Order: sequence, then C-alpha cells, then structure tokens
Amino acid sequence: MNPRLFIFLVAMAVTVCGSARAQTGPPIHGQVVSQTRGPLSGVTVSLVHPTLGRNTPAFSQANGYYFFTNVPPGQTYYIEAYWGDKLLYRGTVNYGGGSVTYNIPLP
Amino acid sequence: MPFNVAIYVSLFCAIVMIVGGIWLLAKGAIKLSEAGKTEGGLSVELFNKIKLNTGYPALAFFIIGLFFIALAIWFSKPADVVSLSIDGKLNIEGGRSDDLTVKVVPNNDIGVTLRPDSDGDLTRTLHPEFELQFVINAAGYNPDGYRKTVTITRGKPLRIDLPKNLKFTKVIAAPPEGKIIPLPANVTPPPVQEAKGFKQL
Repeated sequence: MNPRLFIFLVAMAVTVCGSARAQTGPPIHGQVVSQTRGPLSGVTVSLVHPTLGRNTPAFSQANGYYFFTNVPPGQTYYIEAYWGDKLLYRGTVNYGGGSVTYNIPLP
Repeated sequence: MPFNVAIYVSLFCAIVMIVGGIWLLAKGAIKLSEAGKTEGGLSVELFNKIKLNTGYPALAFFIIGLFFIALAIWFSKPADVVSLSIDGKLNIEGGRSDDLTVKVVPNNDIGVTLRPDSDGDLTRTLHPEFELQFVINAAGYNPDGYRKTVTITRGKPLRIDLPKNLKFTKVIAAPPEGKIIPLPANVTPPPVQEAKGFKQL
C-alpha cells in the first residue's frame, strides 16, 4: 500500500473515531427555561411511553439542565415537566438513538 | 475451594454413604440383625464435639449420609433478597414537606469486574456491597438538590445524617403552565412520584 494512502486512512479512522466518541452523551437532555424567569431548577422531568410506562424522573439543575440515561431508542415518548406534582408541560420527543437535545419552554 | 464445589462434595459423600450402606447390606458385610450388639457397632466422632455410637452399623451409614445431604441443602439455600428500609423525617421551614422528593439511585460507577476462565466459564458468588445515591430535591427552593452517596452493607443498619446547615429556602413561586398536549385515552402512566422506570422491551 502507498505510504501516503496508509497515513491518510489512519488519520481518517482517528478522526471518525474521535467524532463518534464526542457524540456520546446522555440519550435525551436539555434545559427547562421560562421565558420570563430564565432557567428553572428543581423541575421534575419524566418520559412516558404508551407501553413502556414512565421512566425514573430527572430533576433540572441550577442552570435548568436535565438529562436521562437508559432510554430505549427507536421510540416516541411524551416528555413531561412537573413543578412538585403540578403538570406544567407535555410534548413529544422522537428518540432514534445517539444524543438528542430537547429544551422545555415555559411561559 | 469454591463454595459450590464444597456443596457438590457434600452431596457426593452423602450418596456414597447411602449407596455404600445399601451395597454392604446386600453383600452381607453388615446385617440389620446385628442391631443391639455392642461389638461390631459403629462409633463416629464429628468435629470433636458430636460423638455418634450406634449398635446399628447399617443405619449409621444412612444417618451420616442424611447429615451430609442436610448440610448441602442448608448451605445451598438461596440468599435473602437485599431490601432497604428507609425511615426518616424531612421538613421545610415555611414550606410544605410534600414539595420535597427523595430520589434513590444506584451508583453505577462502582461494581465488580468478572473475568471468565480460558474456557469462557464464569462462576462467582457475590456478596455485594453497593452504593446508593440519595438525591433530595425541592422544586422552587434553593439549593436545587442535595446529594449524598452511601455504601449499603447487608445486615448493617445505616444512618444518614444531613448537614446541619442544609436549609432549603423558597425562591420562586410555581411557574405558569406551558403547552400540554393530551395523552391518548389508552395511556395511563403512574403518577410521576411513583415512577419505577421503564419496563423491559
């Protein structure tokens, strides 16, 4: 094999592996943000699936950031945000795999 | 010696004793009619504590065999499932204690690494100590959460003391509701406080 071609292929492989590694993050993550109050902490965020049920909820952090781990891919979920036991938001999120960002907008 | 091998050895000894006793009876080496005779009786001492004298040499084999079977059954019984009881009191000054939630999650960072042997066989009995993370969360209060990681050891009670300066202070009232799309009529998830995770696919 041509040495230059070999070096090029190795460099490509390293780049592709590095990109793939960089993309590994929480399956579904995002921020709970109020238009009037900014990022909201302490909000309970949960996924609901028609047959899988409800996952273990996450709580938004000081900057409003939340994340889920262990989300089965290839499914559509309802994503809910609660303030205590009061439902504030419900939307849908399609999760095909990888890492998906879903921000939860509140008034 | 691996624990399971000790159990199998006990069972093997029991079977040898019982089958051997039957075989000796069949061959006439020992006789049931010799019951009660002092000479020709069998004397066995176990662990220097239990001394078994019998004038029934034929039955002694069965009794010792049964002892080994009982020993194997006792040590092979499944361990109790580890359960965790939580008993505590949490209050918020000037707030409602039901604003608080306590989320208990296993700490996935620790674990036991198992390696199979060169044939790919993997045999190991675990007596695990595991870590749990307690996350106390209060919507609308500062701090936004308190986390404490504890190591659970089976059979040992554990006391979790919260820092004395831990104080949740109410910062903002509930935000207004945003968009809420309806769930289909056939979808009835459990309340968010009772969620136990997704079912297996």
